Amino acid sequence: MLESTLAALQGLFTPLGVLFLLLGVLVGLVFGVMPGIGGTTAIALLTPLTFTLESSQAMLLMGGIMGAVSTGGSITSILLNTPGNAPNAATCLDGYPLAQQGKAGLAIGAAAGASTIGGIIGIVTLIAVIPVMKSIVLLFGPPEYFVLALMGLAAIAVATGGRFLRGLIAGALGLILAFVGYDAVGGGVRFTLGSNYLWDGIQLVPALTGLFAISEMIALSVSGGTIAKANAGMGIGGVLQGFWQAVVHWKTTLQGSVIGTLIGAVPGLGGTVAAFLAYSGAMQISKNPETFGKGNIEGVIGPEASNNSKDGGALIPTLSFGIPGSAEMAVFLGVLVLHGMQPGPMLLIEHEGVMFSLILALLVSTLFSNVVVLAVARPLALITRIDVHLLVPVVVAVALVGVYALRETLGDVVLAGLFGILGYIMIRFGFPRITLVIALVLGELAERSYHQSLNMSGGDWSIFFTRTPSLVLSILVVGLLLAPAVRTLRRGRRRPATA
Amino acid sequence: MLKTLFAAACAAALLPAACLAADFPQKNIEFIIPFGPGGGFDRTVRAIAPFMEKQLGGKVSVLPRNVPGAGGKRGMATVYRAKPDGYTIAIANIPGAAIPALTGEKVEYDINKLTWIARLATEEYTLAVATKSSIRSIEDLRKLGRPVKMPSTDFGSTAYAGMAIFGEMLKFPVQHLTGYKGTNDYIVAVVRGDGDATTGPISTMGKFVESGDMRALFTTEEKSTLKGVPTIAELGYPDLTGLGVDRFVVGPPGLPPAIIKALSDAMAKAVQDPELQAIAEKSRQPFAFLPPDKAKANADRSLALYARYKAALQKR
Amino acid sequence: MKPAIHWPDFGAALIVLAIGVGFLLWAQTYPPKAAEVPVLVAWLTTVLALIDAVARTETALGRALRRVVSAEQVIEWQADGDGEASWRRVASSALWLLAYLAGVALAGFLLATPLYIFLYVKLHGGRSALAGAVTALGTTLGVWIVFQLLFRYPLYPGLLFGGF
Repeated sequence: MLESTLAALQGLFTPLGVLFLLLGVLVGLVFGVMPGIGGTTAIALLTPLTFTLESSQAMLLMGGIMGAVSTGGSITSILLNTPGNAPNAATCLDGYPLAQQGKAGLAIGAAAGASTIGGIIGIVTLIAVIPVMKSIVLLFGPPEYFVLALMGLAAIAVATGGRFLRGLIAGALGLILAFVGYDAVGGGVRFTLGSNYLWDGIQLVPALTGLFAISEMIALSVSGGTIAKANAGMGIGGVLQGFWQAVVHWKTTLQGSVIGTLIGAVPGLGGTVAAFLAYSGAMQISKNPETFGKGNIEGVIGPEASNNSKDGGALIPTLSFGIPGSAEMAVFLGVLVLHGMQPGPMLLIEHEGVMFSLILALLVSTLFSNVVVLAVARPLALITRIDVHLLVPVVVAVALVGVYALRETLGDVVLAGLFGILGYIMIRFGFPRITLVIALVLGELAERSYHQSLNMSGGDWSIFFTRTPSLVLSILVVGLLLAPAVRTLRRGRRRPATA
Repeated sequence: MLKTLFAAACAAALLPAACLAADFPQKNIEFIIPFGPGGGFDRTVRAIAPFMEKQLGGKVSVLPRNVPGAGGKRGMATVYRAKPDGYTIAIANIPGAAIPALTGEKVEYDINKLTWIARLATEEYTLAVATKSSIRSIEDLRKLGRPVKMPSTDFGSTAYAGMAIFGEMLKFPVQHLTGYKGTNDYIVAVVRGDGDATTGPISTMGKFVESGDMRALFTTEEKSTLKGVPTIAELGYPDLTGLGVDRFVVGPPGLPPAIIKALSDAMAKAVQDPELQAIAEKSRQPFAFLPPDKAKANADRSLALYARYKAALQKR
Repeated sequence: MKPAIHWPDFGAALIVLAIGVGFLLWAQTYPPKAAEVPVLVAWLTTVLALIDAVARTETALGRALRRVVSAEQVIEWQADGDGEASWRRVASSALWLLAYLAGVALAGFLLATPLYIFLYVKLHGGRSALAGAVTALGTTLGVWIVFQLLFRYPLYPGLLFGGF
C-alpha cells in the first residue's frame, strides 16, 4: 500500500499529472457552478476524452473533477440561492440569507473551509477503512437501508425549524411525489397517467433546481432590487475570516464530515440526503437553532463539510464491490471499464496503484479548488449587487439549459419550471421545502427496501430486528425520533425562520 | 453518362430508395443510445462512432446521442418512430428491448419490425452462488425444498429473464427478489446472503468468482472461460447455450437494403481497424461482429427463445 | 377582533386536504402490494391537512391545536425585502416563466432565450433596451459557446424544428 501511494505521488508531480489534475479542478468548478448540471454530467462528458490517456492520468482528471464540483456549487448556492449541484441545495438555506446581508464573502469562505476539512476527513476515513471495506458493505442490506431511510425521514421532524406541522405536510407531499413512476419491486407503473416521461419518476435535479433556484427567481422577480439588500455592507474581506469560522465551529464541521462520509458510504442515499441531514445535525447541536435559515454560518459549514466528505465515503462501496456510492460514482465506473478495470471485488487488488492516484487526486483537488474559490470570492460576490431584473432571466435561462443538458428531455425543463412555481407557493405559505426534498429522495428508497426486506423474509417483520445492523439502527432511529421531536415542539413557540 | 442519367432520375424523384443509398450519407447520422452515459452500451457506441465516420468517407459525423428513460424503452421508441433514411440508428439491448412487451408492459415500438443492421457484441451469462453457500450444483438448487431466492434489478432486466428461463428449463422454482439498483448491487446481495443465487454477465460476475466471493455453477458459453466451471451444454442443456446479452445496431422499420448495407459495411470495416481493436481490448469489451442477415437470424433465434418462455417471464 | 378564518392560509390547508384525499382514492386503484405504502402516506397527508385546517380556525379546538403544533395564524403577505407583492406582480412573474417554457418548447433554447431575456428586462424590469439587448445576446452567446461548441451538447431545438 505504501508503494502505491508513493507511485501515485510520483505520477502526480509530473507536468502532465499536474495538468490533468488542474483541468479536472477547472471543469469541476465550472460544472459545479452551473445550475442543474454537476459532477455526473462533467464525468460523463469527459469520459470519451480519457480514451487516449493512461489510466492514472484519467484518474487524476476524474479525481480533480469530483473534488471541485461541490465547491463550485456552493458559490451559486450562496450568491443566487441556486444549487449548482444537487447536494449544494442545503447550503442555500443559510448561505443565501448571508449573501442578502452582504456577507457573501464570509459564507463562501466558510464553505471553502468546511469543504476542505470535510474532504480530508472523508478521504482519511476511506483509507483507514480499506482493509475492512467489503465487510462494511456486506453489513448493509435492504432491512438496513429501510431503517436508514426511516432515520432520514425522522430527520424531517428536526429540519422543520419551528413549523412542525407544515414541515410534516411538506414531507408527506414529498413522499407522494416519490411514488410516481416504475415500481421495480412490484413490476408496475404508478401515478404516471400513462406518461412515458414520468416512468422514471420525479427526477431530483430538475425538481431541486425548480424548488430552490427557479422559485427564488420568481420571488426576486416579484420583489425587485438586488440580492444584497441596500443597507448591507460589502463584507468581502470576510472571506478568510469565513474560512476560519469553519475551524472555530469545529464541532459542526466534524459532524458534517462524519455524516457525509457515512451517508456517502451507503449506496442509494446520496449527497443530497447527506447535506440536508448535516444541516439538520448542525441545527441540533447549535446554540442558536432558531437563527437557522436566517444566516447562521453553521448552516453553511455543516452541509459543505458533508458535500466533500461524501466523495471519500462514496468510494467505499465503489472500490470494494463496484457498487456506485453516488450518481457520480456510477458514471465514474464507466471510466474504469473503459480502461480495462472491471469494477468489482478485484478492482483494488488488481489496480491498487491507479486507485491511489484517484484518491490522491481527490484530496489535492479538494484543497486546490477551495484555494481557487477563495481567490475569486471577492469579484464573484459582486453578483449580489447586480440589478435583479437583469439577473433573473439569465439565471432562469442558464438553469433550464443546464437541466435540459442532463437527459436531453424537454419534460425535465417543464418539471423544473413547475417545481419553481410550487417552490414559490411553498415559500409564501410557509411550507418548508427542505422536508419535501428529503422525503422525495428517501421515499423511494424506503418503500423499495421495505418491500425487498419482506420479500427476502417471506413477509416476516422480524427481519428488521433480528439482523444485528438493522437492530442497532432501529434503536438509533427511535432515539433520534424522540429527542429532537421533543425539542422542536418545545422550541416551536419561538419565531420561525423561512426555509 | 450513367451517373448523369442517375442524378437526373433522382432529381425527378423516380428511384427514391436507390437514390437515397447512392448519396448516403449526406448529413450527420444520429446513433441513439437508449441509456444514460457511462454504461456499456454508451461506451460501445462512442468507441465505434469515430471509426464509422472514417469508413463512411469522413464527410459526415456519427453523433452518439443518449436518450435515456423508461429503462431503454424511450430510446427504442425514438428509433422506431424515426424516418427510415439511415440518419437515425440505435444500439439495442437484445433481449432487453424485447422483454417489456413479453412481460406485458406497454411499449411504443414493435421489436419484430425494427431493421437489423448488425450485431456488435455478445456476452454470455453465468449462474453463481456465494462461496459460503452449501449449493454446489443445479441438483442442489432443486433440493433446496423451497424456491430459490434470486436477486435482480427489476422485471424488465435481461438477468431476470435469464433467471426465469433457467428456472423453467432446469426445473427449480425461483423467487425473484427485484428492486436492487445495479448489477453489482444484486450480485453482492447473494454474497451477503439476501438471496441464494443469481445470474449475470460473465465479465462482471467473473470478478466475484476470481476474488473468491462466489462459486459459479455453469456458464452459457460454448467454451467455458471460467476455470473449472462447466458449460450448460456440458451439463446436458445445449439449448441454453448462447443465452445472454447482445448489442445490436437497429434502424427504423423499412430501411432500404442499400442503406443497411452501407451502414453495416462501415461498421464491419471499423471493427477491423487495429486502433479500435486496441481500445476494445483495453476495456475488455471485444467486438463480435455479424452482418445484417446473420444478425437478423441471431436476433430472431434469441427473441424466439425468450418468447417461448413468455409465461415464465410473466410470473411475479 | 381576529377573523374566524384567515382564508389564504386555510385555503392552502384545504388544498392539501384535497390532494391527500385524491391521492388516497387514486392509490387504491393499484394492486394491494403496490398500493400499501402510498395509501398509508395518503392517510397521513389527509390527517395532517385536517389538523392544519382546523388549527387555523378560531375555534377552541383550533386554539388548542395551535398550542401543540405551533401553526401560524397569519403569514405575512409580503415578499422578503422591499418591493410590491401584489397578486398582479406574482402572477406576472409566474407568467414570464411559463412564457419562456412555452417558447423553449416551441422554438428551442437558442431562439427563445434572447427573446425572453430582452423582453423581460425591458417590460418587466423596466430597464433600457440596450441593457436588455446586451444581456440577452451575451447570455445566449455564452450558453451556445459552452454547451453547443465546447461540449457538443445539443440544445433543445423546439417542437417546430424537430424536437420531441
